[in-house]
Amino acid sequence: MNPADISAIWVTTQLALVTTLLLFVVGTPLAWWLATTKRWYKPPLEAFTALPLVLPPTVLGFYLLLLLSPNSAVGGFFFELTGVRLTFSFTGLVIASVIYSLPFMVQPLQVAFERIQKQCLEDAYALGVSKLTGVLTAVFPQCRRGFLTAAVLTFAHTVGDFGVVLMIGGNIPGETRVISIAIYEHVETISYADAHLLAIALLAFSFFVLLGVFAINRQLPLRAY
Amino acid sequence: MLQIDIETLGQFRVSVDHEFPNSITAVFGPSGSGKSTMLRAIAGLEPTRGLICFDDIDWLNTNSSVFVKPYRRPIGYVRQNAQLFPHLSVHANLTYPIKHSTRRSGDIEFDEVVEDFQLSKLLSRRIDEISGGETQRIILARMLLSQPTLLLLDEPLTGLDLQRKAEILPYLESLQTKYDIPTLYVSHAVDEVTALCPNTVVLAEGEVRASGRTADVLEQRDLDEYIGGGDPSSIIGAKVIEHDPRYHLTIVEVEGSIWSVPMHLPIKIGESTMLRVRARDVSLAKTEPKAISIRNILQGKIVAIEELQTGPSVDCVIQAGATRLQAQITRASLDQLSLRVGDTVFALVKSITLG
Repeated sequence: MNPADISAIWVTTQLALVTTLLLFVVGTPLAWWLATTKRWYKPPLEAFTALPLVLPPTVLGFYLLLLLSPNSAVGGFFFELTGVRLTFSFTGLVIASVIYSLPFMVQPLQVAFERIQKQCLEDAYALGVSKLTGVLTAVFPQCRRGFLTAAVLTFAHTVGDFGVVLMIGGNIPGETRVISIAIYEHVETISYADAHLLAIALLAFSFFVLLGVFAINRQLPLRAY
Repeated sequence: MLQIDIETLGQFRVSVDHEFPNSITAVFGPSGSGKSTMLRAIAGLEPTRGLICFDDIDWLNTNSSVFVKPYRRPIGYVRQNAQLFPHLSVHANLTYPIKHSTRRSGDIEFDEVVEDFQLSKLLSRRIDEISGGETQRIILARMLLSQPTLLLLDEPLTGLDLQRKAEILPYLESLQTKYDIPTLYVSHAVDEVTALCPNTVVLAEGEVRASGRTADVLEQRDLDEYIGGGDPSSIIGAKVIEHDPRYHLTIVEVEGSIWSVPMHLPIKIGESTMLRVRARDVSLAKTEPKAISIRNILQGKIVAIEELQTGPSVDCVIQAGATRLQAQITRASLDQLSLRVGDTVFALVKSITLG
């Protein structure tokens, strides 16, 4: 495998890890809120969260490009503040991926929370345990499968991204050039052997990740001891 | 003492104004009568307005905007079909309130509870390795270890078969005899109520229909529809004299008469208990019958005859000492024996439920 492809794998891995970590921090409270709220604006917010599931990546990428470019309010402000461009940079890629993969983190967590949180918290209250402690010691440990599924799906989905990454990040080696874009380029330049190598690797990776999720959901014991 | 004057605001309306004494009170009523909702309101889990005051501390007072958060109320609440935390071992479930509860005061010791509830052999088990009866014992033990000063038990025996119920009952009794914590005990089973609870509140359609001493409450005829489906019965006090394993009987004393009832070992010799006698299981005789298979006979005076205008039967109330016993006989028998108020009769009891 040539160094450019290895670099693409490295960028992809970094992107997926950072995205998953950020989404874990952002998605957990959002999923909790969606699982527990009874406010009227829950359905619109749920729909908004799920949008990346149905939108073509180009639509999302197009609007993100407008939003993040240094000529726009948001992108310009960020550039003024940090000197970092949000388009065609790794940072911009992370922001785009966080939005693009949001439903893959939020939905499994929301389902897990909805299933157990009410009764579980009431049981904790009756034992004199406060809400925060109850959430951390009783609800979250019982949602281990949900957390694992969410993390794995988010990671895998970020690895598999192509459209948004191309619109926002372009194809800068070592910075924004991820595996899917490297494959696209190999195909464009008719280096089918190189394309095969990366494509097969990604195919195997995706299959085994999904296999892992399904196997774990069948077998992962609920207990944490 | 627990004093409540509440109205719940959820879908199911419950409106109760009552003072519960510091002992065990049965909350009794048909399903859908609001028993569970009332318990949840006291636990702070149900939107409620009004007043809840326990031992002179307001938990809820809408007038002065007091609302004590559920986990700040020193309750032990066991909901219907209660469960243990499945991600923790038996031991970790029991120590959970010790580790995480905001209630630190209290003198209920881990080792003592484990011994009382006979859990030492189960401590290292996983939750999926224990039976339904064991689960219920652990739930009660875990509740005690959260150092509660008021217990709210919502049908803790529901879902267990008769064998398991008989196993758990002594532990529920020990909550009173040993730990002495005021309790509201929700049930729709008369036998559990008579076995455990000296006081009873009857709830129907979200309101209190009757309250007082269990024996008095369960005797009220107009409550029959809630209690036994038109099956009037008397609750009478008895003292256990001995258990007779050979005939599988427990010998008790009722107003000086020796009765035998189906054996019920949890009640110790010398202790008092309550018996439930259905009125239709009681016959009357003017002279003391000899050579008869019925073993339980009580001599007393007829103090009332409630004759319904329709139907073949009449209700007679027999008084013997402090005991009142209802007997349902046919109107034909009443006339043939020419029974009147004030007559001395022998009440023959065919069948008895012991708590």
